[in-house]
Amino acid sequence: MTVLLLILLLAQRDTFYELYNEGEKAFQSEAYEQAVVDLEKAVAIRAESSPSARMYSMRTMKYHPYAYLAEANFWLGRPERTRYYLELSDKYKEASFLDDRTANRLAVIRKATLGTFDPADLPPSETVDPVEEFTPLLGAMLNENFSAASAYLERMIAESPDDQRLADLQKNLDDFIDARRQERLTLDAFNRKLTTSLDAARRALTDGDDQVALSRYQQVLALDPENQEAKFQEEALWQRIRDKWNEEGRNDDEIEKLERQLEAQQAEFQEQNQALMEETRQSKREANLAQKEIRRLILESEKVPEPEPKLTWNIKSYADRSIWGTSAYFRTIHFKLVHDVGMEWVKLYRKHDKGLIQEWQLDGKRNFSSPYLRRYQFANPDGSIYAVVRDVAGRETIVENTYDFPAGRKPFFRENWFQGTVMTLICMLIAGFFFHKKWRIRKAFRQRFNPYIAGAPVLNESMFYGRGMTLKQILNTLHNNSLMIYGERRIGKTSFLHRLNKELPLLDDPEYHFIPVFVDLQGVKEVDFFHTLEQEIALCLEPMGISLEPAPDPLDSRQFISRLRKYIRALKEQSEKKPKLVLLLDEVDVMNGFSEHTNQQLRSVFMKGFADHIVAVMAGIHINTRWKSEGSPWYNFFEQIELKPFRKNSADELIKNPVEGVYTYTNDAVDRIMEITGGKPYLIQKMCLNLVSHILAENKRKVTRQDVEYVFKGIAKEFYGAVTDG
Amino acid sequence: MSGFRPRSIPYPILLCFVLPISLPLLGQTDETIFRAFQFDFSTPGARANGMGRAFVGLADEATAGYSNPAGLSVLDTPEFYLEWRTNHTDFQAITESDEFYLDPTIPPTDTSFDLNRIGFSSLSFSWGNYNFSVFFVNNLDYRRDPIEEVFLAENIENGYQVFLNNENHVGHIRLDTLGLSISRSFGNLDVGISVGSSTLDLDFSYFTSLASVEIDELNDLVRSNARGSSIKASYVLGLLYRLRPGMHLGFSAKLHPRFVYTEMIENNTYPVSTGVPITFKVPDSYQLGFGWQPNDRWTILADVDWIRYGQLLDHMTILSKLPIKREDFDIGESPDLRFGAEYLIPAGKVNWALRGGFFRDPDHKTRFVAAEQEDMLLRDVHDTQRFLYNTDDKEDNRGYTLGLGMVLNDKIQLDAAYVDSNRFRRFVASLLYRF
Repeated sequence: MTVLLLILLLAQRDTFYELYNEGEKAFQSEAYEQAVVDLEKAVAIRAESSPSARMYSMRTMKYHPYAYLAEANFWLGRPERTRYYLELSDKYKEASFLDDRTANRLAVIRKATLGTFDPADLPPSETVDPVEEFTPLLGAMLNENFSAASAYLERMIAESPDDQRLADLQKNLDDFIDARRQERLTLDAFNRKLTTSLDAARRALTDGDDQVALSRYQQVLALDPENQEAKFQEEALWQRIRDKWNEEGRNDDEIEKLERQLEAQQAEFQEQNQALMEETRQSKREANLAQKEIRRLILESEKVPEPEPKLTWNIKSYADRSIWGTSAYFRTIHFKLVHDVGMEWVKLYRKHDKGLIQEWQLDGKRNFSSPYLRRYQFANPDGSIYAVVRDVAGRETIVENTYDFPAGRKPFFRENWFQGTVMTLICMLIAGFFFHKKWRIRKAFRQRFNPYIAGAPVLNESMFYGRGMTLKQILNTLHNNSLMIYGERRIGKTSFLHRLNKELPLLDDPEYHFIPVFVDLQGVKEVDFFHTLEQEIALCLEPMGISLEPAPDPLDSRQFISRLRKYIRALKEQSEKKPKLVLLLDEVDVMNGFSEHTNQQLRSVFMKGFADHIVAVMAGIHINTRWKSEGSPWYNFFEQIELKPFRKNSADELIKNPVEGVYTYTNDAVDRIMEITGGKPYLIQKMCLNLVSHILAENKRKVTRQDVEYVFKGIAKEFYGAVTDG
Repeated sequence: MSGFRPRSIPYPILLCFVLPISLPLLGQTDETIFRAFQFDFSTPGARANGMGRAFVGLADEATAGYSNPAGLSVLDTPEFYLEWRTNHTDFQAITESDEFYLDPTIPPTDTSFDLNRIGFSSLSFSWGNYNFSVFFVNNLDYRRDPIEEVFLAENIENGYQVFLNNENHVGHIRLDTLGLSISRSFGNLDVGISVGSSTLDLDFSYFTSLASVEIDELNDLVRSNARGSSIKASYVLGLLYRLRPGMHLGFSAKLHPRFVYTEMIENNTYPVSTGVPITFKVPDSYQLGFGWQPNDRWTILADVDWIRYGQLLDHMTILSKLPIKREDFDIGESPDLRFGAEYLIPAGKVNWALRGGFFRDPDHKTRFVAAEQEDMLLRDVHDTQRFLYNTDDKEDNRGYTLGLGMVLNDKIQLDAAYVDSNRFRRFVASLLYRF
């Protein structure tokens, strides 16, 4: 059972197609012995050739083992077997489905092997392909079928008697035949000599005469240095003789003497046979030379196409690419080479610098499949490589490959698509911006956009122009000073106080936390004064979570101060910084009608202990004249700041900026507005308000001087009223 | 039980080997949901299906990994295989008989279903003296929309009436196998083994209510459902012996897993829904095949399949309260016979193949076969059970097959097959790529 299992384990079933494939590979590698073994096994399984022999599943293959067997045996020098397989190939009609090359080779072999023919049986020359003439001649030559070769040549000379090359061929063939004959003769003589020496050596060995046997074997080696029997026996005999003499007690001198004696004998023998050996070598050389010459003549003839190597490239080209561009170029290189004439070597080169990639020694092979050169790197994308093939006749052929690498990749930011996309995006952004602006303008125009404010205080930050420096000055001064803002009517005092009301909480002062309280004193009665102040303070602080019990009404100053103290205390508890209440008192002219006592009481508020936590910014018209007098309770109390009419550039801003992109003013329109309004912001706004209404009615967007004149005429009364009012 | 075919397209994975085995709806119980199913163990491959569904004696392509893994030993280049099949199966609903008159309150529901799926895929390759195949097969993919069956049956002889209400819904029942095959040649004998991991995944619910005024014993109610998955191993052993060049004898043994799943059952035994272990043994099967290629053109095949359907009954669970037992059921085990042929037409770089065959699958439905009882009551019960369970005649399934194949440049092989029989129609297409 174990044996059976072992047999089963070791047994390997081969199918005919596997054996055939192996045989075909061996044949193409010119391993003809192995090819014969495999192919004969294949035919033992399946004898019948077929153009579509079934393998397995639906697979078929061309199966023509006899063609390969015939050629393989031909090259192995077995004419009988070659004939046998040629007949089988004919029987199974392999010629009908062989490829052209195999068929041609088989035809040559057939003619060379089946040799006997009558030249008269050859078809008329004009129908014969010239190749047909020389190829069988060469075949006969290779097979040393001299009668066939001579017959072919005779036929060709008969057809072309003036062809000198044929005459040269005839001469060379005769020389070759003579040389071969002579070679055979000398070889026979040589072999006889060799056999004589070998026989003598063997006889001496049998007779036990070691020294004579040794001498004879050395003669054999002189004639045939590779003779295995002589080599082995020589060594064995030497050892035996030494051992024997050692036993006999002979010393080294005697052994040395024997060696010298044998050497002398060998030298004498070599000298005697020198001529024979030289003659043998010479005749062999001559025969080979003659054969080579004939081959050369035949091949050089115009009638025989010079065989070219056939190289089939298998190249894969690729490049390492990333979004940053192509970084390296690679090729995996493989090729198959077939040549009718044996090849000496093949070398592979890069074209751009003629650098050698690799070379292979082929030693006369006619088929070669290169190893795969994987990922061979090229320095640049020049894709050409070429192979140089040298055949045994010394001819070199160049075979070029010009496959290109895949298109290199530029870094992504140089790619057209990327740049195009970026450009498109930029254009779209610009177009978008442009069209958005246009759309905005049209929209504003449709909506009768008119941003100017005439009459009401300017609470909108975007409409507050021209007081930047003053604002800064106040914000820097307010820490320790109460301020008095004065200026003519409609100059923007109220607007300014409102601006302060917005800016103060945003002020990032390191020391103080400013809490503005805007108080409009317009219409406030004296009796309600402190109550009003307290109410405004309470309203302002309530969102901060600071509130007291409702204040009594009316509220006197003492009560006011008490409550103020509480507020300040609460603010201190709440704030990390020092709280600073800033009373923004508008229309303080009202206080001019209050009693001096009230004014003093108010002033005293700013003198209390918590005075550090309270300042006032008061705005009015006449306060500067009355309150600056020494008799005034407010004498020397305030820092004074006058609000003056706008300068040209501030007025320009006020006129143009609010409507920028929607409406435009001509320069002389702006100048005329300045003249008319004197730079007073209220009047400027009033004028612009009416101007915009006017141009909208005119369905236009540009204000000209004429427009200004026209509008001014319409509102001049209002203007004068506004200017002179109060 | 009548067999059913998987329905939907499963895993779009490379490694897939199909055994289009039409498996029973899981655990073998006496629920009438199973009466319509019948097994059908068919061979993967459009080529095999085109040749009468016979392949065991040839098995010379990538599908051999499951049908007969010994056949893999002939492959000398890696092959990738993918198969798609569409199936239409008809079932027979309850019909009137010599014993019962039928008054369907609700007309019979749909008695057929269609299935489309990628059933098989494999990747085969050689390594040294061994050939391997990694495969995935969808053995079963069955789904049914909610079905309702309501009717009143009246016994013609005795006049008693039976009211039946069946509802069932099969969300999905899937059996997939992922496996590995190995084969080697030993002289004229090829041996192959496949080992697979089979996953059973199911989701179904069933309700039946049987009522009779005259016969109290016929009043019955069963409600059940099952949901879950489990994995078990399956095995295939294959042998292929070359009698002489072009003539082979093949043998294949398929050993399938036994699954145990929990079915939530509510009936007279379990008044409250209770998990009951139900055993389902996929029947083992044995195939013997003969393949003969007298020349490069013709291929002739013959297979005999013996499926051990009796293993289903060995684990049958009776859920009904009716006085019936496992031994009252029977299932036919006659072998299936398959014959097929292929004619190859080489045409340059393209090889064509024409195929045909026929097959006979004996009836394998589970039938109620209790002997006639002397006791009248028992006889009526059995008659009713017979009427409700044995819905159609015992009839062999006979069919024919046609197939067409093409190989281009010895690389790409396309095959198509059409199978038509009493019970089902099938179309199979496959793609094979040789590297």
